[in-house]
Amino acid sequence: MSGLLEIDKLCVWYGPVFALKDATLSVGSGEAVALIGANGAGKSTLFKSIVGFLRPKSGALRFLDRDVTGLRTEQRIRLGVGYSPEGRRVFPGLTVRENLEVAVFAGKAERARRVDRAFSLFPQLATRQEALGWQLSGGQQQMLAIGRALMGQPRLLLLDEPSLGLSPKLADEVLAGIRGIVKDGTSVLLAEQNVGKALACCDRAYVLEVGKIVLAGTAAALRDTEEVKRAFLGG
Amino acid sequence: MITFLQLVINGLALGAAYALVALGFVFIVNATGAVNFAHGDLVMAGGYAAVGLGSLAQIPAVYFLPLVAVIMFVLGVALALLAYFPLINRPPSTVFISTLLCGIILQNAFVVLFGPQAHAAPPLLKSGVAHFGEIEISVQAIGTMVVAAILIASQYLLFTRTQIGRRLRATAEDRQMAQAVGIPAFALIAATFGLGTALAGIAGALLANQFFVYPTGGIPLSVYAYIAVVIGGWGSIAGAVIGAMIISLFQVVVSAYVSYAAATGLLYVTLLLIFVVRPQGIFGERVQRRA
Ligand SMILES: Nc1ncnc2c1ncn2[C@@H]1O[C@H](COP(=O)(O)OP(=O)(O)OP(=O)(O)O)[C@@H](O)[C@H]1O
Ligand SMILES: [Mg+2]
Repeated sequence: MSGLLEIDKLCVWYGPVFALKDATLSVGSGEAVALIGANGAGKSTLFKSIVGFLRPKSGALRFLDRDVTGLRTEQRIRLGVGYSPEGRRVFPGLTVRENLEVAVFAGKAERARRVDRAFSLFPQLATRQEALGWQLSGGQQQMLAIGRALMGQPRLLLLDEPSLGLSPKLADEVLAGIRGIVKDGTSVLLAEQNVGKALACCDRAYVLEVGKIVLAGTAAALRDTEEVKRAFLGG
Repeated sequence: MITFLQLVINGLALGAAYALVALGFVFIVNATGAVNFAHGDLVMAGGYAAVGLGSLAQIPAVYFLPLVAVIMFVLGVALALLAYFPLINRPPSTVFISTLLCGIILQNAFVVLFGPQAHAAPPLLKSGVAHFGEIEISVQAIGTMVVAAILIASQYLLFTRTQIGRRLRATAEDRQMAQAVGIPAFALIAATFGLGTALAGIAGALLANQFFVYPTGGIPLSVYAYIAVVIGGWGSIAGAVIGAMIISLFQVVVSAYVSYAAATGLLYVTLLLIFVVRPQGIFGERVQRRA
């Protein structure tokens, strides 16, 4: 399992306060990794550092064996990262189809093929192709954000709390989709507060607490850890 | 009745040029959220470019209009590099001031290069008027309307039908997220400045035949562009065009019956009223975001 994403001792500060301290983690090819932690633990901060919205103070960030710290956001994305942000951030004035199209960097035929694939992944979107981004329901926006993140056929997909604001049933559907995405060759890093669900669909997990990674291991092993049970699973 | 119709047609011809001015202005507002108060001076720069090129070669403006557009595109990118990108993380009012300063620099450059007096650029095709019954329209006015119609239609197609247009819109809506889907947002913002400035320049070249160019002539144009965008709904491209038409009709008709000063004064009063009564503009409804 070669390291697709390698993060070593990453430190991120917001002004005088740190949000991540010596975070070390990796995602390999063909795996789904969960990043779990309570509100304010630093999950979104880690994702924003990976895509380059934030500049880490120190530490290494390697993707596909390349140091990406000097690259602009769009360069990192084009290397093979897909990002579905917290809060979805679909383009509100673009139609559903346009939201998907803007993220494809390939010829016209290929563009149409990939858009169709997103529609077959999320049939609900297919029926609302001409609706504007802001007109969608929260769940539909979430599907669109994930579909858009897959348009570049990324090697690594970053999903920041995709179940936020979804009904339990829809959240299950979205999380169940993760196995299929991994099978198609895209590794997944998933930030979730719903630990039970995250551990159920991921191979490994890291537990983040106030900016520090306090636990790491296979999903099966973590499920049985006392700390995880106590802190997150209510048992 | 005939005189009124004549006035309306004159107003529409002026409105066609104003529409190009407002269109370029709204592009830049959309792409950056920044109000470019050098915009009117860039219109004058286009006018001066036409004056300069016209004095080099005694040919109708239509032949060198593409060159004016190219020169102005470069000037717009330079403006972005100088007055926008260095201030990108500052509040919008900073960019407002920096573009205002660039406008003043341009006004002084015009004095140095062309002197304080007014100049006229060569006509688009030829001077003279065409008669339609009792209505007469200058050939320049017809040319202006045709050029504006072509450019407005191509803008519409660019923004709605092409991949680059979609990416320009995505960048305008959420720059950071555009980058996060792989779009080189900074290059597109620079291109937007170029495109908006090219439109301003073409408008200037068209206006510079009938209305002359002079160093401070751009100042009211910046304000008109601003008013057009406020009337049309902040950020709406179609609204900006309609807003520009309303301003020019208003100016032409009120100046004919009352006076030019009254027209200008009333226009500014209207702007204030819109701010208070209908801040989203007369036509505009801004894209809403879901919480
Ligand atoms: N822009 C900011 N400026 C200052 N502090 C910030 C900023 N963004 C986040 N923080 C702080 O950094 C810490 C980590 O925030 P982050 O958003 O990464 O948490 P999270 O794990 O994603 O939480 P949630 O589950 O609520 O999304 C928090 O304490 C937060 O208050
Ligand atoms: Mg978060």
